[in-house]
Amino acid sequence: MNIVVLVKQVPDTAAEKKLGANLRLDRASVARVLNPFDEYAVEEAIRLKEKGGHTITVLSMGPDTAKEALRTAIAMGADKAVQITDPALAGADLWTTSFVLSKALAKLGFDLILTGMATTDAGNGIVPGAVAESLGVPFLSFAGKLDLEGGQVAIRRAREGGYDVVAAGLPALVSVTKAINEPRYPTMRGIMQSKKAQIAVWALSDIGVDAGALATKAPKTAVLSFSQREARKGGKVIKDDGNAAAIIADFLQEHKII
Amino acid sequence: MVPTAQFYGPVPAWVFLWLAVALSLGIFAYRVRILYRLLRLGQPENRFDRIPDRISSFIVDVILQRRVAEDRWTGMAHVFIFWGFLVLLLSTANLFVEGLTGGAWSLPVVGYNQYFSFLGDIFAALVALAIVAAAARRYLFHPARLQNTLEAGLILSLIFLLMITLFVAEGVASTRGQWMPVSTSVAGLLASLGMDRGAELGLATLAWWGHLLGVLTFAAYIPFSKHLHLLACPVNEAFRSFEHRGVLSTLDLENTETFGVSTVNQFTWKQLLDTYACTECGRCLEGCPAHQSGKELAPRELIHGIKLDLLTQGPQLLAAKKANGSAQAEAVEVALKPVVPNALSEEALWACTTCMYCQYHCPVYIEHLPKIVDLRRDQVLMQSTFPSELRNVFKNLEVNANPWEIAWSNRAQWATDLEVPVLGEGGPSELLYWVGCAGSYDDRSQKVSRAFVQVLKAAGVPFSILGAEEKCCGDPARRLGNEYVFQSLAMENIELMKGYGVKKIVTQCPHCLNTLKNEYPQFGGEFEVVHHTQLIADLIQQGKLKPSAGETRTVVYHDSCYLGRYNGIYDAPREVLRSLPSTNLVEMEKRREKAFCCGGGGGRAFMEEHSGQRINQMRFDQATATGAEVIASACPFCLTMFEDARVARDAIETVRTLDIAELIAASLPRQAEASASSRASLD
Amino acid sequence: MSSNNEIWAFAEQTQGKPSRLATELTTKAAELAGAVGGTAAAVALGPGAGAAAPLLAGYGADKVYVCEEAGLQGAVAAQAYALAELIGQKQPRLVLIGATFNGKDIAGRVLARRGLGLIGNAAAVEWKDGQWAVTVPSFGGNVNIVSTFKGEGTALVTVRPKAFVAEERAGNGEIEAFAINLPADVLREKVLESVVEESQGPSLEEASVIVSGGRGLGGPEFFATLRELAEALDGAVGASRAAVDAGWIPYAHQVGQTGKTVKPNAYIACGISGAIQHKVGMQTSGVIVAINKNPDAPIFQFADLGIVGDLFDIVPKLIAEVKKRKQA
Repeated sequence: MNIVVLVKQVPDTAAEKKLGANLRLDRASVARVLNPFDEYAVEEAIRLKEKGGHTITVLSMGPDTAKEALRTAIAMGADKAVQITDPALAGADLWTTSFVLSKALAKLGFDLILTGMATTDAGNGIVPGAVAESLGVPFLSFAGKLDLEGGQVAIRRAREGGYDVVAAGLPALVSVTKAINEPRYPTMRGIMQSKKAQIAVWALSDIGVDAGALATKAPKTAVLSFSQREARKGGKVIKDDGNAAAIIADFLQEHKII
Repeated sequence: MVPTAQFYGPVPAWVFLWLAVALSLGIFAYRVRILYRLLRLGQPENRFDRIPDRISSFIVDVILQRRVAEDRWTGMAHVFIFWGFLVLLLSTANLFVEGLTGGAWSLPVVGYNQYFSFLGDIFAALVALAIVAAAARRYLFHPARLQNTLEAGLILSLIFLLMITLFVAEGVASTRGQWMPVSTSVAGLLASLGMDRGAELGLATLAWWGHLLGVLTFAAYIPFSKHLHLLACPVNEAFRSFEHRGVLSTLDLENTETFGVSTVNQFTWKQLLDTYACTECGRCLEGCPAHQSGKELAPRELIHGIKLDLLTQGPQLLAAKKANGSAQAEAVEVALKPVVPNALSEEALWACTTCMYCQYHCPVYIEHLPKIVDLRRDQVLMQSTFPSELRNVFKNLEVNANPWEIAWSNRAQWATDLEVPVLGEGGPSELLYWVGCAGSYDDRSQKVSRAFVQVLKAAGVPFSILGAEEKCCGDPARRLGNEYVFQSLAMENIELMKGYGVKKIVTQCPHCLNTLKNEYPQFGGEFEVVHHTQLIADLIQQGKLKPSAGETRTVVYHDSCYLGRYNGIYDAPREVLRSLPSTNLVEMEKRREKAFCCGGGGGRAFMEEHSGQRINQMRFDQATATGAEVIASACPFCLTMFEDARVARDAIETVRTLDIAELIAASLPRQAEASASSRASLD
Repeated sequence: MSSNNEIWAFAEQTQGKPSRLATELTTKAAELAGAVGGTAAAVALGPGAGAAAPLLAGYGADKVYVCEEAGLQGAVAAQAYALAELIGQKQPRLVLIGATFNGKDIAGRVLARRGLGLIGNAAAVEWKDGQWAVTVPSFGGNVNIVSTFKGEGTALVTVRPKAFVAEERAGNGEIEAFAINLPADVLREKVLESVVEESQGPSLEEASVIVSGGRGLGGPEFFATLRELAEALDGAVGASRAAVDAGWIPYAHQVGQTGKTVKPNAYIACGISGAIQHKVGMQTSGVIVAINKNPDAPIFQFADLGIVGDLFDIVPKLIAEVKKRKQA
C-alpha cells in the first residue's frame, strides 16, 4: 500500500522571527525544522509500515531548504521523498498550496495520505481538508488514534465531552493530532540513509500546472503590513495591597481569557 | 622424610601427588583456556603500545600495590597477603618439588635457605593475621560494601587453613623449622597438648598433605571464583589505559555500521578482561551516587553482570564458531540476548552520572565509564531507545545548539548591557571566554557569567566571547551516548575557533573544560584550556585581583567531579577561597578525590530521578552538615543542583549557594558598594 | 458574479442552541455589515437549526439561512457541501467560520470546492480603504501580520474562540430556508460511534488556561484551591518540579524540562520561582501571570503580570473575581 505523508518545513518555535522588507520571513537567523505535527504523521505512517509493509513517500512543497525536512522524515523511516519547488510558488496562499499539493498527489498516486493537523507557523489547519476535497477523497480530521483494516481507515477524534469514531474507505486523507503517538528519534542508520537519499524535485510543469494560468487565479490573499511584537520581557510587577485579585482579573479580561 | 616417600603397598605416595597435580592443573588449564577464548570473542583494542609505561605501571601498581594501598587498613592487609602470596609461592613450589620427587630434590636457593625460610614464615604469619582481620571485618562489622557470599567465606577459610597447615607441617616435621619462629611456636603449642611424637608426626604428615592438596584445590578453584583476580589483575593492570580518564573513545560515524555495544561480544577484549579482574571489593560502591541514593545501578554489579553474561552466553558463541565456521556464528551472534536489559537494567544504565568515582578508585584499574557509554551509544544510535526526557534535549542541541528550547540567536543576550567584546566583531583574541550553555541561558548561571566578566575586567584581562556563534561543547550528548550530535557540535565549534585563531580558552564549566581540553584534540582542536578558578587564582597571585571586602562567614567547598577527579584541579579553587577575607573555609568528609557527586553529570541534569533519594539533596545535606552558611562551587551543574536542593530542603533563608566567581566579584574593592546591593539578589 | 454584499457568520449550533463562538461571530458579522453597508447573516445547519434564528438575531443577524436536512447532523462533509453550495448561490462578501475542529475541517473543504481565499486565526477584521484588513498574530505571537483578499470571490476568515466579543444587538432574524440535495459521494465519512467520556477537564497540552503551583504552596492542600480557579477558567492544573518532588501532586501535572511543555493562552504561576527548568516548559504561553512572595524570583523577569504578594490570600479572591465577571 502506498502511504504519502504531506510535510512542511517551518521555522523553529523557539527562534525569534522577523519579517523582511519583502514582507516575507527573514530566514537567515531562524532555524528550520520539520513541522512538529507532521512528525506525528510520519511516525504514524512508519508504525503502519512496521505492521503491514507499506511504502512511505513524503511530499513537501517548499523552497530548496525544505529538503532538510524531507531528510528528517527519511531518517525516521520514510522510503522516498518528493519536493515540489518552483519560483512561481514563492509566497503561495492556502488555495495555491492545496491546489498544487493535490496535483502532485494525483501524479504520485496514493492509498492513504497522512499529514499533521496544522503547521506551527501559520497554524490554520485548512490545507488538509482542501487537499482532500480537491482530490475527492474522504477527509478524516484531527485524528487522535488511527486504525487501518481491510481497506477501511477509522479514526478517533476528540470533541467536547468525549470523542467520535469516524471511518471511511481508502483512498482517504487523515490529519493527526499530537495525541496519536510519540515520534521516534532517528537511529544512526536512518540518519546515514537520509544523507544519501535521492529526493525527486518537481517543478509546476512536472505536475501539469501552468504557472501563468496559476498567476491569474492566485494568490487570493496578500500581506499588507506587519508589526513586530516585543520579545517576551518582564511586564508590570506590582506589590499586592489588597486589590491584586481585581488587577489579575482585569488583566485576564483584557487578554480575553475571561 | 617427605611424606611422599612413603610407600602404600608397591606404590610410592608421590604417584598420588603427581595425579593430584595433573588433575588440578588440568582443571585449571581447561578453565583458563575457556576464559581466554571467551576474551577472544571481544573486539580488538590496541593496548600493546607504550611498553615502558606498562612495565613501570606494573611494578608500581601490581608489585607495589599503589591503588590497593590507598585504602589504608584494608590496603595494608592486602599488601601482606599479596607479598606473602609471592613469597609463599616460592616456598610452596619448593614443597611440590620435594613432594613430587619423594624428597630427592629441592628448589635451589629457596629450598634450604635460612633467610628465605624465615621470611616465608613471617609472611605466612602476616597472611594469617590479615585473614583473621579480614574475617573479623567481614563477619563482625559487616561493612556496607561487602557481600558475604559463600565464595568469600570459602576463600578466607581456605587461605587460613593453608597457613595453619604450613606452620604445622614445617614446624613439626621439617628441618627448616629451626629457622621459622612462628612455625616453631605452633609446633610448641601442639607439643604442649601432650601428644606423643608419633601422633605429632602423623599430624604433620596430615598437615603436609592438607597443605599441598589444599593448594591444588585452590589452584583449580581460582579460575572459577573471584580469585580469578590473581591471574587477571596483573594482566589487567599491565593493559591499563594511559589515556586521559576524561576522554571517551571516538566513533567513525561515516564508515562503520554498528555503534556502541548491544551484545556482550561487542565489548573489546580489554573491557571483558576488566570483568575477570573484579575482586568484588566494593570500593566503587562507596562513592557511587546512583548506588548510594538507592538506584538500580551499582558499579560492581555492572561489571559482575557483564562477566556473567560473557560466561553464560559466550560458550554458545564459541560452540557455534567452532562447529560451523562463520555462517552459523553470525546467526548465534544475532540471537544473543542484549546486555541491556538482560545483564543491566535500563534504569541502571541511565542512572550513571559519570562522576568517575568507581573508575578512579578501583584498585585493579577497571574502566566502568566507557562500558556505560558504549551501552548508551547502542541504545541511542542503533535502537533509538532512551528516557523520553532526552528526545527534546537531543533535538534542541541539533536545532538550537543548547539543551533547552531557546533560540541560538539569543545566546549572548546575558551580556547585552555589559560591553563584552565578541570575537566575531573584532574582539581581542588572546583569551576566549567560553561561556557554555548554562552560563548563557540559565538565569541563575547568567549571574555567574556576569560576575566573571566583572572579575576579568577588574583584573584588566583582555578577552572575547563567541556570542551567538558559540555552540554547546557537546559534553551532555557524548555522555548520553549520542555521538552523532556530539561530533556535529564539536566539529563546528573547532572549525569556528580555528578560523578565529583561538589559542587560549577560559571556561566556568568543568564539563566544557574537560571536553574542550581533552576531547577536542580527537577532532583536531588543540587549545590551551583553563578553568576560571585557575585563572582567578593566577590573577590573585599576580596581584591583579585583590579580594578585600567580605563578611564573616563559613564556606564549604564542593569539588565538582569534572574539575576534581576528571582534571585534578583541587587546589586552585581552595586557594581562591582562602584569599577571601573573613572567610572560614571548611571541608566535607567526602572531598577531593572522594567527593560525592551533585547528581548532575552524565546528562542526568536533564532527566528525572524516579526512585530512591535525590542525589543533590544528599550532597546538600553533606555540605550543610559542616555548619557552613555558604556552599561554594565551580560548576553550573553543581550550582543548579544545589539551588534545587536548597529549595527542597527549605533552606533559602539559611544557606546560600554561590559560584567562586560570584564570591570573588563581590569581594573586589571597587565593586564593594555595587555588590552590597547585588548581594541581596545573589539568592 | 458580484457579491451580494452579505457578511456571514457560520453558526455552529446544537438543536437550535448556538455555541458561544457563534454569537461572537454573529456580532462581528453585524459590525462588518455596518462597515460595508451590507447585511449580516448567520448560517445554521442541521435538524432544529431554525430555533437558533431568534437567538442569533439577538446578536445582530438580519438574516438566518437555515437548512434542517437530517443528513447534516454531525456530518462535517455534508455541512461543508451545504455551505459551499450556499456560497455558490448567494456569493456573500465574507464568511466568518469558527476555528474549531469542525470549523477548520469545513473551511478547508469549502475553500477547495469553491476556489476561495482564506485567512486564518484572525484577531481582528476591518474594512479599510476599500479592502479587508485581517490581523493575524503569527510566529508564536511575535509578529502581527495584516493581510487582505484579492479578487472578487467570497472571502473566508477563520476565527479563534474569544477573539471577538459577543454583544447583544437587534437584528431582524429573517429566516431563509434552503434545501440541499446531498449527493451520495459527498458523504464519504461515517461516524461509527459517538462516545461520551467523563470530563476530567482539559489536559495540560490542550488547556487554554493553566493554573500552576510550586514550592510556595507549602503543601498539597492548596492545590484544591488552584483546581477551583482552574475550573472557573475552564483550565487545567499544572505544577513545578518542586511540588511534584515533594509529593503534593502527581508527576502527570509537572510542567517543565523534564515534564510537559505547554502553550496555553494564559499561564498563572503560583508560588513558582521560574528557574530555567520550569521556564522552558511554559515560556511560549500567551500571557504569564505570576504570584510569588519573593520579589527576586526569576519568574518576574518574564511574566507579563507579576504580583508580589501572598498567594493564599490572593487566589481565593481571584476565584471570586473571575466568577463575578463571568456572570456579568
